[in-house]
Amino acid sequence: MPQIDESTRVREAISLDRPWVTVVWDDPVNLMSYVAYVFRSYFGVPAAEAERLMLQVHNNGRAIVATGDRESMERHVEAMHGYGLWATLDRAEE
Amino acid sequence: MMDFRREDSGTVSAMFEPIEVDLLRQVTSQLLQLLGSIDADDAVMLAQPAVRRLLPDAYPDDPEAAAEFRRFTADGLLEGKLANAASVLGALGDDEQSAGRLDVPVHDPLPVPIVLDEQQVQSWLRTLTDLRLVVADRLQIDPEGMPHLDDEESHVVNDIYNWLGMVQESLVYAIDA
Repeated sequence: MPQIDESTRVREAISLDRPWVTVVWDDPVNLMSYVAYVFRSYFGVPAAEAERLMLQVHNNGRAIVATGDRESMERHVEAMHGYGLWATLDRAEE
Repeated sequence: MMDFRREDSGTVSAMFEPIEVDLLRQVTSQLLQLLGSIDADDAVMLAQPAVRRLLPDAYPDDPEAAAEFRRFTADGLLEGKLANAASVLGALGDDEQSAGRLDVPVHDPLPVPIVLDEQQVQSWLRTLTDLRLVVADRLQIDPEGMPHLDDEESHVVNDIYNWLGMVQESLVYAIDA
């Protein structure tokens, strides 16, 4: 799981709240190569994982690219908007 | 345009036709104008599809949370997008000179070298995305990627859209290699 430090994990573990997720949605504009590049360079995931997430966005219409506390997910969503990707926050499913 | 290539120095470069430099300069200037006109507190402006796509709702089912997110992020995002577009214009050189080559006359038909450092590459990737998002709105691109604009300009706009995508893909491949 990308970019979640230990203190976040501990806070999540003792919190009764469900965690939040960063969702990236498929859009007809962004190139598949660019989306995979963004996942790789921003989240630091290996190329194969970035490719898998990109294809999930492309084929399923959306993909969860990060899970964690709300603040971190807002930071990720803001970063995705900076890249021009269509990203939203949501509660993780139980 | 010839494909971008990575050079030993760490920069990436490509040769652009002068007409391509002019085109990119023109559409990026228009993007700068649009970005500069966006007031993130203006609900009417935010309702415009192109603006909405540049600053999407972070909470699609919670207007209150979406508004708050926008209050905290929109100005910074717009600032970044403006700086990126300005960086693209900077790399293209101004109207009075061919980009990066002071010795070339203004209307020289020779291709123009465009050389980008790491930070400029990031600005280009993001600005090319913002440009395509705005042009896609103009083209009325549907969720399947099909354009529906049908007027005397639609062919030209569609060509520009595809060309911007080609430039971006070439840039992604160059830094990936």
